[in-house]
Formats: sequence, C-alpha cells, structure tokens
Amino acid sequence: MATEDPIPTPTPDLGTKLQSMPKSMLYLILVLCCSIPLFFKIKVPNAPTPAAKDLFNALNSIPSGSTVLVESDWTNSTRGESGGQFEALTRILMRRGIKFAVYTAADPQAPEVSRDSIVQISEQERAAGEKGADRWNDWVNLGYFPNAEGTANSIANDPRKAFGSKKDINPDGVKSDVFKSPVLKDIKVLSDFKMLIVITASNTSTVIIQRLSGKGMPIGMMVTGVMGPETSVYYTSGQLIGLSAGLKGVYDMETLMNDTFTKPGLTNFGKGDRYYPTLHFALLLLILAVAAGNVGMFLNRRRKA
Amino acid sequence: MLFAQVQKSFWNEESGSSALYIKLILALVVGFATMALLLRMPPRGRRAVVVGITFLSGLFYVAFYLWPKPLPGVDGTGAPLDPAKPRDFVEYVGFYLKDALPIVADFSNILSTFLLGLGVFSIIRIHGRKLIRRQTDWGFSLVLMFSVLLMVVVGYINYWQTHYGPDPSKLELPRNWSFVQYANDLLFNGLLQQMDAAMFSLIAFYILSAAYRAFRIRSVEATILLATALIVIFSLMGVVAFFWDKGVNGISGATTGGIAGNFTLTEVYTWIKQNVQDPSIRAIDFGVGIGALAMGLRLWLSLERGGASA
Repeated sequence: MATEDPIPTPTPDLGTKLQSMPKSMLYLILVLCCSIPLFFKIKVPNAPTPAAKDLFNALNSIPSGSTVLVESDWTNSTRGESGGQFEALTRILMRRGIKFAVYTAADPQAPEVSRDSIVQISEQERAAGEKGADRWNDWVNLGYFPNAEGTANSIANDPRKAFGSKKDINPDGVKSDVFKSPVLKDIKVLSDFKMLIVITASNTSTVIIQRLSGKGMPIGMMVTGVMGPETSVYYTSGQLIGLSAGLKGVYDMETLMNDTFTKPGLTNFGKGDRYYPTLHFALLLLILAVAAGNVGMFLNRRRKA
Repeated sequence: MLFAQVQKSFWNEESGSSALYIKLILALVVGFATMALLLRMPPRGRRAVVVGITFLSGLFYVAFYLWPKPLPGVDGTGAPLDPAKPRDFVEYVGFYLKDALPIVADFSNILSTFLLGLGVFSIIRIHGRKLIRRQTDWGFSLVLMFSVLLMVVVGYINYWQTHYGPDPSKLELPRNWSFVQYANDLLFNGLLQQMDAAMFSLIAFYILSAAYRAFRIRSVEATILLATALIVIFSLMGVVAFFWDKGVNGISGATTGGIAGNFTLTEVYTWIKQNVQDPSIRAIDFGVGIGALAMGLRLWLSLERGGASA
C-alpha cells in the first residue's frame, strides 16, 4: 500500500507568532510582573494630582475635635486601592484629632472590614507615639444600611433621625445610643459634619452626589481606578472638594502625608508605596502586549501585500 | 440635650423594650396574614394591590422632592416664627413629608434586607435539593452548605460575644481573642475576604488578554483611541510622568508661559480629561438619567409588566 507524503506544516512567521501568543504565556508573564516587584523596595517619584492635593488640604483644614462622616463601601476585593485609601484617611483623621462616624451603604461585609482596619491603624499609630482612636470616644460604627438611596435621603433630611436607632459599644462595654457618644453628641444638622468622605468601589458615589451635594457639607471621595473617570466629573464641576482615584490616588495621599507628618517613627507609606511599582510593570506589560499584537498585524499585512 | 429617637412615633420604640418586642411580633403576624391574604386573592385583585402599593410608595418620594419645603419665617414685627409650627396647609404637608422621610427610609432599608434573606433562602433551596437528590457536582453543594452553616454559627457566637459578652470592647484586639474570634477571623478574613480579592484580581488577566487580542490599529478612530489610551496610561505611571514633565520643563520658557509648557504629560492628560473624557461621561450620564427617568415612570405607574405581573 502506497503511503502519501505528509503535507508539511508551514512554520508560522514572526507576524503570526506575535499575534497569537498563548494565553498561558501572557498570564505567566503577568503573574511574574505583578509578583516580583513586591519583593523589592522600589521608590517611585511622584507628583500628586491637583484633585488629591485638594482632598488632602481639605482634610488638613478641618478643626481638631470636630466630626466627619465616613461612608466606607469597600471590602477586600478592592483592598489594593480602597484599603490603602481608607488607611491613609484614618491616619490623617487620627493624627489631626478629628472624630469620625463610619457607615456603609453598599456591602454587608464592609463594616467588619473597616472596623478591623481602624483597630489595626490605631494600634500602629499608638506604637509610633500617637494617640490613635478609641471606639466611642473618637469614632463610632453606625453599621450597614441596605438601601443606599433611601439612607442618603434620610441623612440629608435629618442625620439624627437617620442614625437615631443606631447603637455602639461605650467604654463600659454597654451598647448605647450613638448620639450620646462624644463623636456625635454635637451633631444636630447635616452641616455639623465638617465633611463626608466616601471610600467606594461602586456607584454609591453617584447616589451620594445626587442626594447630599449642596447641603452644606463638603464631600470628598476616594474611589477605585475604574470609578475614577466617572467620579472626576463631579470634581471638575465643583461638587467634590477633592478626589483620590485608584492606586495613584493612594500613593498621592501617602506622598502628601509624608511631606506633612514629619515626626520620626510615623508610618506614612502603606499600600500605595508597596503596590505602585507593581502597577507600573503591569501597565508596561499591557503596552508591550498591545504593541506586539499590532506589530504582528502590520508584518502580516506587509507580507500579504 | 438631644438624644437619639428624639421624636417618638408609632414606628419606633426604645431598643430592648417590651413595647418594641410586642410591635415586632404584631408586625410579623400582620405580615404573614397579609401574605396569606395576597396568596388567596385572585390574580387580578392581587395585581391591583401590588400596583396600588407601588404607586403610593413612589408618590411619597415624588411629593417629597416636588412639594415646597417649609422655610423659617418672620412675623409682622420681624421676630422669627416658631420653626416647628406649620403656618398653612402647604407647610403642614411639607412638615409631614419631612418627618415621614426617615420612617420611609427605614422601611426601604428593611425591605432591602429581605433581599439578603431571600438570597440565603434561594441558595439553601437550590443546593439543598441538589444535595438530597445527589445530582451532578453535589459535592460542591455540600461544601457550600457546610460553609454557610459554619459561617452563620461562628458569626453569631462571635457577634454575641463582641456585643453582649463581658467587656466586649476588649475583644477588638487579637491579644484578647478566644477560639471563636480566631475561628471567625479565619473564616471571614482568612478565607472569604481572600477569595473575594482573588476573584476580583482575575480581571487583570482578562483585561490583558482582551487588550492584546482586540486592540488593533485598523482605522483612524482606533489610532486616536490607542494614542489617547497611551497618554492616559503613561500619566498613571509616576516614573514616566515625572521624568517626561521634568524634561519638558527643562525646555527654555516652558515654566514661564512658553508653548512648550503645554506638552508636559500632566498638561496633556488634564486637557484630555477636561475636554474629552468629562464631557463624554456627562453626555452618557445625561442619557442614562433620561433613561432612568423613563424607566422609573414606567415602574411607578406599573406599565412595566415584566417583573410586576402578580
């Protein structure tokens, strides 16, 4: 029986190779690009954005002893960005002696995540010789509100009624009305809060702007990179006093803190400093991957022409 | 001195009071009775009830936004009027709406909470059935049910200890933790939160793969898009932005109003943001807003039959 000669498989040219890199190889390079920089201390030069500077300056101009409202709508899925922002915020508030009330309108997991973060940061601040923040005296946990729209309306209408049924643990270990705490005892109307800071990875930022903007309480936001562009619209319109967006925003806040809080032993850099080099490598890989695909396409076109 | 729940109404009671528990039981009874009544009603009658309640619920917020708000006034002598007393019917309704808002917000929060319960019920129903009937991949359902049960038990014991146990504030610090707090930490922070982060981080792989395969310069529009994306990406890279800006600022006159000053990465990105990105997003938001208004009207007036058919 005669055997047919096998048809030789053409060797793919460079253009085809560049356009059809296997997924697994791309993923492996991404893992390496994102992991390796974490093992090295790489200092990245940075010029903070005007929006981040405005937010930092606004936080720095709040009088000590006054109270701000914090809407913490993040969990560990976005901890690289939101976690770093929340840590920077709580450090600033603790160092400046500003009291804060934390509530959530996005995720049932968020109150526990933010509480753990506050306790951890407070311990670190105390270890560095700062005051930290005591629950009840310096901050209170207002918990989770499942309906963001209704809650924001209610806060705009009367914060005492909106949070009136909430209780937190006082230093005697007893659950007590939050408005008896030093944090909220002087809050009667919305403008008694010197600022509302929203840390979010979702569209609760829009809900807040729609219902609480222009009510006598400045609003600052710390959002993820994905939410940055659509939130920046409210910064340019003047509805936000300042904005920190994405990992760059975290690093901006840390850079500004480092320039302001110069006492030896203080921790100013955190997640922004650790993850920002990684973002560089990941973005560089993205650029190279897109460039490789396009170079491959041009090579193939030229060959066919 | 003002305290919480400063205005007592039919809808609130002191936390832990017997009056509160009586009202809670009454609410449960009324809730179940209403549900039973609705289930026994013919579909047309049930639909009328659902449509009526939907309309009234929406009407409250429409009235709240559109009805004139009570403002502080002065009498003939210029002395301020009592801000707590309405002067006419319009103000009376305005006061009513303002006072009712937190109660309505509480209702909406409670109704939204039912969605969480509904989600848990749905998970138990679907996976419980799969488990009992030993359907394909029932092992995964077993792991899920066990995880739910474990999280609920440990979570509630931890909640009770950290809120009602002896000296609960001490339990915030890990050095005072007992076995339950460690177990809760392992389940919540050690497993659930880490899996949450892992799931979200998968997006990076999809973005890279999609950008590599789909981002081709095949037209003028694609070229403009790619160039813009490159500028935005470079502006997010602090090293690139810092040294580019430094290089441009080194050109004579760049920092003193010269034309070269417009070509720092920060300036170019800001121009793109203010003149391209923000207006585009505003236009999209405007369209979405009109769409939401139309959809809201359809839902309010029960013209949207899809999900409202009783």
